[in-house]
Amino acid sequence: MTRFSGKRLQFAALLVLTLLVSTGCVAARMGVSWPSVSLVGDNQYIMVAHAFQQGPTFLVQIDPADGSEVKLRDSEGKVRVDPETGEARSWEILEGAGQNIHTAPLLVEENILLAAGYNNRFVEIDYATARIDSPNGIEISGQPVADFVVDEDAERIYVGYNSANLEAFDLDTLDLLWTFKTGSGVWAKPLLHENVLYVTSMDHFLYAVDTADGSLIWKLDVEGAAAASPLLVNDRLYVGTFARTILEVTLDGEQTAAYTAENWVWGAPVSDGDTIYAADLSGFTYALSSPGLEEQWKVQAAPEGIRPSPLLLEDALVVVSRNGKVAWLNPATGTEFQTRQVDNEILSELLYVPSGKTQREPLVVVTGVKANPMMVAFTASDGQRVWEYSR
Amino acid sequence: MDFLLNPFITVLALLYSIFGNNIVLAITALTVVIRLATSPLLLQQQRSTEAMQVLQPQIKRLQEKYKGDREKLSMAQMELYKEHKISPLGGCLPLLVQLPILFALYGAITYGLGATPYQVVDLSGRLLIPGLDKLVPLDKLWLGLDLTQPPTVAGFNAAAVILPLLVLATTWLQSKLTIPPVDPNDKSNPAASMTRSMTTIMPLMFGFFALTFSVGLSIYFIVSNIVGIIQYTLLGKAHWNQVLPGRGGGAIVVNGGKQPLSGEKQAENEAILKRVIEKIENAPRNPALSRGSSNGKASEKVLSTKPKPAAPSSLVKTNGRKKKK
Repeated sequence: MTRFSGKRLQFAALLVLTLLVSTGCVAARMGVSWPSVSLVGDNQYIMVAHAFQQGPTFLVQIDPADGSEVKLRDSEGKVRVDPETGEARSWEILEGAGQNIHTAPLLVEENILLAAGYNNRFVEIDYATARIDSPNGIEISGQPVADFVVDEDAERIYVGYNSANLEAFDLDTLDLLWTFKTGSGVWAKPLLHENVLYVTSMDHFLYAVDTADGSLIWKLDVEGAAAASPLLVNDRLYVGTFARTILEVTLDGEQTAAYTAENWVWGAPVSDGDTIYAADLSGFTYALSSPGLEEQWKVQAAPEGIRPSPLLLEDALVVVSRNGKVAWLNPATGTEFQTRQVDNEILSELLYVPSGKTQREPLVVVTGVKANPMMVAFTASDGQRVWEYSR
Repeated sequence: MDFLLNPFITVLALLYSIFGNNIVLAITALTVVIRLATSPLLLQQQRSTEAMQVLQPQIKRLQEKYKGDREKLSMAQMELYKEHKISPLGGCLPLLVQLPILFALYGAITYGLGATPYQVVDLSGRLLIPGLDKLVPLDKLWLGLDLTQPPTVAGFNAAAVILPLLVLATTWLQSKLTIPPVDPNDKSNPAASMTRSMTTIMPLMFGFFALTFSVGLSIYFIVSNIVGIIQYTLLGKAHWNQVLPGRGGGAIVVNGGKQPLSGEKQAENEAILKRVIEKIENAPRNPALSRGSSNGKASEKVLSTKPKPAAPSSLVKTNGRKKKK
């Protein structure tokens, strides 16, 4: 033991603290969001937008037939080959750090894919060549984290921002049409119904906004942050909140029923017309009557939280928990009849891929935040593992 | 870590509610509470550091006496600590105990101020008091600044200059006040270089953190430093003479900043030192220590594994040769 061993140890401890703090090992979660998944184009390819921590954002297309990356093709339909490596080129876009894309890109014209970057920019992507025509993009006033809403005539899009506000843009010119101010972030895709946008916000309000000019029609204090899209069933809106509630609201903004859940309800509820299904961040799944929100059944489908919306199939309700447990429940009773496990942290929405051009069986696709396996596809009917995609 | 982190997050949210949804007041109050709660540890650490400081002259004499004999020096140091009832780790253990608390406090601010979906999803289930969920998300705006973002996020602005400077200044002041002064010109004293490093690198490092981490964390650094300075001052442990002109600034205090030792105490210390030296001189060598005390020089060999009578301290076997010390 040397003379200043105590002090050396103190200094070492301080250095360790410094390293832990600076590397974010203590508790800091520097990520913004989880992968966005959607179906794009005539072929209904799976479009994934994500950025692993410290890594670049990537946009990639997956063929639902076999989970392979979609290849770039020339005008004659031949697969493009990288002249340096001699390998087939994938349809892939890599962006620098800070330009993360957390929303599902939108095919606005035959060949233009519109994406919104977390660096306050719209980016237009040439869909055929997977090239960004104008890297600087078009400046917008916020950082989008929720998917866009397109109006029925495909003339306008509505975009909510991470910090606050909802904005309307002309889809042709991307000119700003109006701004609707909220007290906090708009983290869920608004619901568009008969020229009214129903918008949930982290500021604890549910808003009804006139699409014509962005004026407020009514607002309702839902007494908790709301990060789930509203669901419209039987002329009632159903909204999940962080106040551990699921609320029923008329289209005039009057609350008619409330149900208390075990934890935050983040995913949007789903419905078959008579029953509302929702899940919470304690792993509980609920079946509630519509209207009235009377409990029909309640089961804890997973020990960990369920962030995304349940996926309602013809004869099954599929939920996925944060620890990767995928459970098929009987919609009538809540009984679990099959489960699968994915080795990843699951926060993204479950993606239902109907049978189509490239694959026969409908699929349920589970997407995780980590690279391996990032995406796993199961047959919707019997949960057979069909393929997985890793990066 | 959740067992520590979740109560911290809950208390932060509770304070946020008590202070009228003002997150800065909540962070300030939580920091003050934590600093006060860890005061006994701080005091113990300070006492230990001071006690080590008081022993420095005697340690130095031991180093001179046993120059080139690390084994004996080590034994003598340990014996001296034992005689004075000091644990060499006494200054370090309280700090290590405080580390998880610091982590939890940092985590509470990070989670509590979660600004993005990925950060907020981790907050669910961590608020232990029913009803606090309704506070989420905590208001993260203060004086027009987003507490979850670095001050530079909106470009170069006043906050981007003032906050890091405040963090830097308060960290420097706290280091200067709390680290016992040593002679900066004493090249042979590792504590001097360490002190120089601590008072120079730490403020710069934390100033850099203030530029790159969230504004909320900068507020925590500033409040924590200020509370620390007040604590040390109230406990009479702050070395204001180090920073205030006309108060003996720059003086080297070898007695932990206390009054000089009385003649009686000095005599007692001398007696202890003498006793320690005698004990070491008469003590048998530890074969295990002998193996590892080469220090780049000719190593002492253990010639037999059988117990041997103690060799005279002036004669030791070194590489088979007799060497007179």
